[in-house]
Amino acid sequence: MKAVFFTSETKTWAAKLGRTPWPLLPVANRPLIEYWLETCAELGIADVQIFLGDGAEKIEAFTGEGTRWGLNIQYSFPHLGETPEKYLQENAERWADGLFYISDAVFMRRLDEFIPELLKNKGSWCLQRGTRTVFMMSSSFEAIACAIENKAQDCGCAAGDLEIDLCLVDSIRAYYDLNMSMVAGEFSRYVTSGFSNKDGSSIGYNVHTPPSAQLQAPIIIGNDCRLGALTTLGPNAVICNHVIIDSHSDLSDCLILPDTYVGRNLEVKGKIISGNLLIDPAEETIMEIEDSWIVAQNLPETNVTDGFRVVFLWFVTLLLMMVQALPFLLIYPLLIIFRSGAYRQQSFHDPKTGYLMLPVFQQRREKAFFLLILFRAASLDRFVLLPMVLRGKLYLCGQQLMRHPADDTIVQVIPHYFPAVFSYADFNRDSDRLVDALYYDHARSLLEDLNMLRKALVFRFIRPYG
Amino acid sequence: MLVSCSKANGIGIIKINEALTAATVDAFREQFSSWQAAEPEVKNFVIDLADVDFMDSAGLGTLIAVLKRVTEQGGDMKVACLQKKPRMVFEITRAYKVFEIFDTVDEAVKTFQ
Repeated sequence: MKAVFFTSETKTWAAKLGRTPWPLLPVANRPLIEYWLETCAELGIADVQIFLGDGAEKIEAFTGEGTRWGLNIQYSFPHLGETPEKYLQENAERWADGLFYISDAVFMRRLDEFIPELLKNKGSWCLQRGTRTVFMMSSSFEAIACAIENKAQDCGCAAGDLEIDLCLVDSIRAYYDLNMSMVAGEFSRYVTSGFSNKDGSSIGYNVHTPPSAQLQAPIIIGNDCRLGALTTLGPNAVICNHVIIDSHSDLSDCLILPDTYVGRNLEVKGKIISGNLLIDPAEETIMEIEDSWIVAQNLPETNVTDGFRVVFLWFVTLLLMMVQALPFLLIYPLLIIFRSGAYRQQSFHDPKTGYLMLPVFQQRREKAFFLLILFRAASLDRFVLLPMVLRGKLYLCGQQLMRHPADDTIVQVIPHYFPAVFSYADFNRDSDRLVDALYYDHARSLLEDLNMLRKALVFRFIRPYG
Repeated sequence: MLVSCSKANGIGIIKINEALTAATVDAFREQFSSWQAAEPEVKNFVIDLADVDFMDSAGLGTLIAVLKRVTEQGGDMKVACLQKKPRMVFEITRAYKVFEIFDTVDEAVKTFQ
């Protein structure tokens, strides 16, 4: 049996809860995707394929290669317009031995009578959302083929005797309710370290609890938390990892998401707090509080690696400019004189201002002529963009420049846009703008940039016309 | 103008017209004090928060300071027309225990009579 998890689709309800990608949103302080991977381990599935989208970097950082669960995890990005169903249909022969498939925020809620052996029954279980199959676990080829076509109701796999309630989390309210039912007692069915069978509470590692703090079961507290003096936590409080609760605060019937600071002398009841977001799950009212005395994010968002990469490549750009300056000043005027080509301003997307005009070299002669070939081979056509890298308007290496407004759909899909002078398209003939952009967002590093620059310069030198 | 002040049945109606935050509390305190000085016979107040869509700890602290001053002078202060979001701040900061909160200004005014 193989497992395929599609996490590439954005969930609007989850996006309102902050920057955590929806597969990593904690259920009883454990990321949703961890429950899926544990099920894979229980089912004896070794090969897991995860399709990534928003927050790809964070998901991969958490799941890694899957060795923690004894799994072999492979990652992919969906192509533009590729739906989970289309992918499953095109690779139907791979699921001959069975398929465990999830494409939405489905939580496999274990009922009272659940025992892990039930998972090994050779049945077929599906869940549909509207007309789409969002969950499937089956070893029957026919049932899989049927469910892929979104006809789960007709495949004899709509209901199962797994003693599992397939719970689709599709709103903030549903997410909050799921956490509350977990803390209220269901959590014992998914035991982890720190769990007490006596009162159904779970307290993680490295939790600073002063003697004056009161913990009222049932309660779940994650790792690396600090409680202030005279705090009262519980009943029914889920405090995720790396949370600070300041003194004199009372928290009950609430969910505090990771990396959150909860201020002094507060009373939090029936709420979700995620960083500086205060959320009322009953009415789905969300309030961003720009007052760190009340609630705040306690993890800085700055990316040191990105900063170092940009600074290093700034000097590389300067060096490249110095090398290219003289050849450019000699060759470009000749190209103008011979009417071989010139720069034209074109509109491109800009992450800061919406769009910006950039000079793009356009060849006028149909036949290649020596100076023109030399101009392109030495990448001198990109010379005029290099000062924009020095001014911080562009990156030296990154994603392909997206035209405005032609590439609107791509820009909307990619989580981060790094418009660059050189990109994968410079050396990859089969480059797909969206896939490349998503891949770069995921894999960007100084080494990746230097490799990209080297390949782009070499490839353009060898094949100036691609 | 951050604050619009009026009188109804001898009760001061203080309508705040924008978010009450660290950036606006000084203006609020100043305008409220000058109106109070001009109308010394008004002892009781209703704070109309219908147009306040956000309030931070500074705004809340200022309201509590104003309440304290008013009660010291023998009067009282009530809050009306609290929007959803400021209501959430009132809930988590326990300010709802300090202020009497009413759905409308009329309801708040009636309680003084």
